[in-house]
Amino acid sequence: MVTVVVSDGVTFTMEQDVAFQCGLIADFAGGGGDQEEPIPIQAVNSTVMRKVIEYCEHHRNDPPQPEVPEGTPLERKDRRGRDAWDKQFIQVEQELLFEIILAANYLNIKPLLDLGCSQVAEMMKGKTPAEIQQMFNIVNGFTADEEAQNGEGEEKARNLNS
Amino acid sequence: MGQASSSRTSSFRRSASRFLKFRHKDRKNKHQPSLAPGPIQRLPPELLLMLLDLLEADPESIGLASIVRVCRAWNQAAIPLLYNRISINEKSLRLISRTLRSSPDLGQLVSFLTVTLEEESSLLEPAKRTRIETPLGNLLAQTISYCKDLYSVTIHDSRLLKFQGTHPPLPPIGFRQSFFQPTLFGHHNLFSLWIEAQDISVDSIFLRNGDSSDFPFPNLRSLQLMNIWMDAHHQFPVMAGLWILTIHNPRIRPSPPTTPPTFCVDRGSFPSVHALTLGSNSTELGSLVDSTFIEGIEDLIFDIPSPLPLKEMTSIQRLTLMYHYTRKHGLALPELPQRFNR
Repeated sequence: MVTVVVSDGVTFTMEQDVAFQCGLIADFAGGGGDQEEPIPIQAVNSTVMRKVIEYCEHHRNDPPQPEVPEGTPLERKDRRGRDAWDKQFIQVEQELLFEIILAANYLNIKPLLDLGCSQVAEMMKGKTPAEIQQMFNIVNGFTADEEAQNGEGEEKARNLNS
Repeated sequence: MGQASSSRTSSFRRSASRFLKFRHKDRKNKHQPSLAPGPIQRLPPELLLMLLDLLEADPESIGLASIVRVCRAWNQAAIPLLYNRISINEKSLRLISRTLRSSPDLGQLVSFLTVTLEEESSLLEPAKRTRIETPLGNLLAQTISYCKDLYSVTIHDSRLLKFQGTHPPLPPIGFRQSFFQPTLFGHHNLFSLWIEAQDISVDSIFLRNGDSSDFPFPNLRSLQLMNIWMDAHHQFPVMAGLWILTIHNPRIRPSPPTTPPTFCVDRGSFPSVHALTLGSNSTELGSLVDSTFIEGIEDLIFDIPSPLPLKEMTSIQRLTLMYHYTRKHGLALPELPQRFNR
């Protein structure tokens, strides 16, 4: 069993095969036997950790993903097919979605990170820049000049792949 | 007619969206004076890049051209991706050449350049072309020189496709003699060069150079020449790194009778070629290619007449094919520029 303690002081105990899907925990525990001290995970709170553990428990019996060798830039890495459970799992409100993405990145859970990012990509489908700004509440930070140039810039950009 | 109405629609859309944005801003200012940035803006740069990669990989998704307008951080992250691979036609070539001239920094981002000439108007209605325009060859040369580190250069003259057999004489692209090698000089990472053009001769691509021991593109792995003029006695420089050579439909100029018969496609010039594709409906091909060279080739494709859909493939697809090929043969990949290793 592996025990972790998250930022708001909550302790979670899970079986090794669940915990070790987090690259960070696997590294921390070093593959050795039971850990006595709980592993501190300061960057993640208990709400997010609960979601992460739910994901890891569901995927505990997945076959390991084949490693994509470095330096193969031209082949798009295979995206793990999102099954129905995954789709349901990632239907969360925006704040939590990004918390999960950050946690997956920090804990080093590649499939969860991919899942989160493709969910964001999904949300952007068919949207205009203005709609995206609105949906994600993005402060664009452009100066008035840049804003004016943007119109032209977009025309230019579209020409790049005519 | 169709064009005029579509441009009217798009200008309507632009002004409409400007208006809506204006109203939207106005409303925001009234009711929500302090708006905290959304959680997406907390993503660290590496995750933002990963997200953009996903968007780029999915053709149905929002294009990078829209992403650059979302906000400053996204703009900065997406511009390098956007300019990395440029695939343009004749009209856009003029525009991009201007853009790269005015923003030299952008030129450093371009790795893949594909130019497809497809405009028929110049063929059908030459009288309508009254504006004096820079010859295409010069534009190409300028664009290539504004890019600083090209990895793949592809030039298609697909105008020929539209007139199978009987076509009016095509306006020449206007390549200067000895155009390519000096223009491409400095692109040391050049990996793939594909040229399809009907008014260019091979000696204007590769300088005729008796002692060509220092070929300036050590990483050139793939060379495709289509429809271009070749002399049977032309001597290619020694391309020590070349693996894949494709010659399609060469237009062969016979050697003067006084020249001793030599072959321009031989082991001497292409010591490392594993894959050779020859496509021609002319028997003269035999006067170009040394038969002992052919015997040593592992992957030989005689392609007569060419059924390969190479023309329809993008340079990325072709490079991907090449990667499969090199893997299959256990060849070491050349070192890629840093930005490919993301």
